[in-house]
Amino acid sequence: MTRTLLSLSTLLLLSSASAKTEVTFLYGLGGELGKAVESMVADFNAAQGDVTVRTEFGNNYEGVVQKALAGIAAGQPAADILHLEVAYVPRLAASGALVDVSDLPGFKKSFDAFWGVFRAQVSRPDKAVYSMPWNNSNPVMYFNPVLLKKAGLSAPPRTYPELREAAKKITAATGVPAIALSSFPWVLEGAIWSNGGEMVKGGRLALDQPAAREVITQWAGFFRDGSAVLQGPNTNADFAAGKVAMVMNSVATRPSYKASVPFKFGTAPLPFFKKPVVPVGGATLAISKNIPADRQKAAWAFITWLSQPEQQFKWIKMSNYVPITLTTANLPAFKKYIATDRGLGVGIQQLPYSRPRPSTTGYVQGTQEIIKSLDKIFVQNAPIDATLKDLVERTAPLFKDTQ
Amino acid sequence: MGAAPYILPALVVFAVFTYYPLGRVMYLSLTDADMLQPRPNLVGLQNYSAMFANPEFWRSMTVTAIFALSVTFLEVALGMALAFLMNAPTRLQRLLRGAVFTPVVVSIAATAVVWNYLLSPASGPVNQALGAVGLPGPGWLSDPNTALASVILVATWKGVGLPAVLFLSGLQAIPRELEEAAVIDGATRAQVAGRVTIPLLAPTTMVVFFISLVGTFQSYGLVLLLTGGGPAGSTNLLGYYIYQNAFSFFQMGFASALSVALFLLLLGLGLLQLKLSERRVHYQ
Repeated sequence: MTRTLLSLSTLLLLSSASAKTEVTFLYGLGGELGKAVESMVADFNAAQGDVTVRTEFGNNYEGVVQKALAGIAAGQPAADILHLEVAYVPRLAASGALVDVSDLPGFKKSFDAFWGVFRAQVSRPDKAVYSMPWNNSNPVMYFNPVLLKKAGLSAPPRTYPELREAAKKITAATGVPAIALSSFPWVLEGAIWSNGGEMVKGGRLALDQPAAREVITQWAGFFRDGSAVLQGPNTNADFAAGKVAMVMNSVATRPSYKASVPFKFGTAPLPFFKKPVVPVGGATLAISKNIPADRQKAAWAFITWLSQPEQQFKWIKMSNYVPITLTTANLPAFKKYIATDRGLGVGIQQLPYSRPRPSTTGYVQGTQEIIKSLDKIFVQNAPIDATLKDLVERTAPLFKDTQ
Repeated sequence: MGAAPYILPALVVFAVFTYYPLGRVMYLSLTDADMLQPRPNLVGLQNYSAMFANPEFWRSMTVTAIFALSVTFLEVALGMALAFLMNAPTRLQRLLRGAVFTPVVVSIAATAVVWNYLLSPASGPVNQALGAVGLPGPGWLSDPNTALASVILVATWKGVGLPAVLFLSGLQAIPRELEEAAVIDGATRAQVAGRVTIPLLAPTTMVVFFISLVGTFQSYGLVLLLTGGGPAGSTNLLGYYIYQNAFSFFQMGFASALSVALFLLLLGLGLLQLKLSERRVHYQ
């Protein structure tokens, strides 16, 4: 009898243990940020007894997409939760591989808590939502105060015309390039929007339009007067070595700068032309469609847990991403935290005037064409008007269905 | 029964991992596949006509040809020179053999990290050293005028160890008496090398040349990690262009057509090697 009871209780214990739903989370952040992801997952697993999240590292955002594509092609999702850079979501969603989370329980309450810009970033024209905001950022300007001081500047420039003048002075006074500018059009998007232009408009790239052309012409001027270098894999090392005075980069670069830059660097808002506008970026969390309902439910529980203010705050302290909900931004502990260092609050200060990046299906490929054209203009002195005209014509098929 | 049971496992492996993927790529090249639709539509030769009409394809082919021929030439020339050094009975022989072969076993990712640092325009040691002697250092990987040459040099550094070892083994297979006979006849060391040793290395040279050429035509890892095909597309090798179209732009049909073009090119090179081996290479 005792033996039977023991067997029964063991069976009960085993069945309760197996009731825990296991889901896989394929993520794309490495280094310190990867450790932060693992820490958040460990916290979630310890915080409740219903769901276990098992992590898989996809190397980077492209790696996650490649694994997701392989899973879709094989008819077997690569993971239950996919960590997707926002630009890739529309194509994957259009294939029917992702769950429309707006149908899931508690969606509205969770979704309404996000900043408007992040709601807009993940909302499709038909109101469907295929991924939820998580690690979101915006670009800021990091600067070397010593090099600026050598040029007689007590504060970083606020507008692009000011930046142009400051850059000439810094380069003349210090002998190092004042700023690193990127051909990857993230910061450029903000500059063009701030000048009243658009990246994509009327079914085509709008970089040949006056507002955008003016921005690109001014950026080319930085290179042509020798005050700018092209941003590349070594730019962060160059900034740390005092070989470039200003860099425009994600707020989430801050932890690695903190670890590698040997001087007290400054953080300033992104410069603008007519009015401040910044793009947001980062990645979102999506649920694979062809998985059992219990795993969808478990995945959803994890995603909504991550967006809670307490989890967000912990995540931000490790990663320096911006808060995705207003509630997080209003936490007294958060306000106290960002007051400890002036640079910590710049990302959140920019949120009221931030915009989502273009999310049309052709923009990923279009971005590669933009990079090629801007490289030609910036470092090969290619004629601006002709190069932009060629870019717009070349990319026309990618945007023909875009409004 | 005969030999069938013995070759069957190998045949199965080849069929699954070589012939099926090859056939599948050829099929996909005739479709609008993008990995996101389960049943791609047949589009005939549309991907091929788009490929031939695409200036980026031709540009990529040109970049690939320059890269492949340069790396191959450098690997053959330096590999042979290093093999002569490694074959010489000096105290540093073992050290030299280890040093030459080490880059071959270093991962591409580690190679890219190290060379990215070394060639950094502002803070990299190469430009620091040039600056110390008053020379302006270029933006090795960020300037379209120097990026391809920089990638060629890094690829050669990474790959030259294997040709060097093959040449070393070729050198050691040459009977000593042939060289000794030439010396007795009054030939200088340079004459022995030029008229006896190097001609006798012809079979090895041919193998090294084609191994190197085929390998470099398929390169993409270094470019992915060093330059991302840039700046301004100056290092956009065909291998990287295929990868980008397949996995970044989701154009699997077009990427498959590019892959078939690369396959045919390499097949042509393989057939050329066979022809040349028959006609031009003289064994002892």
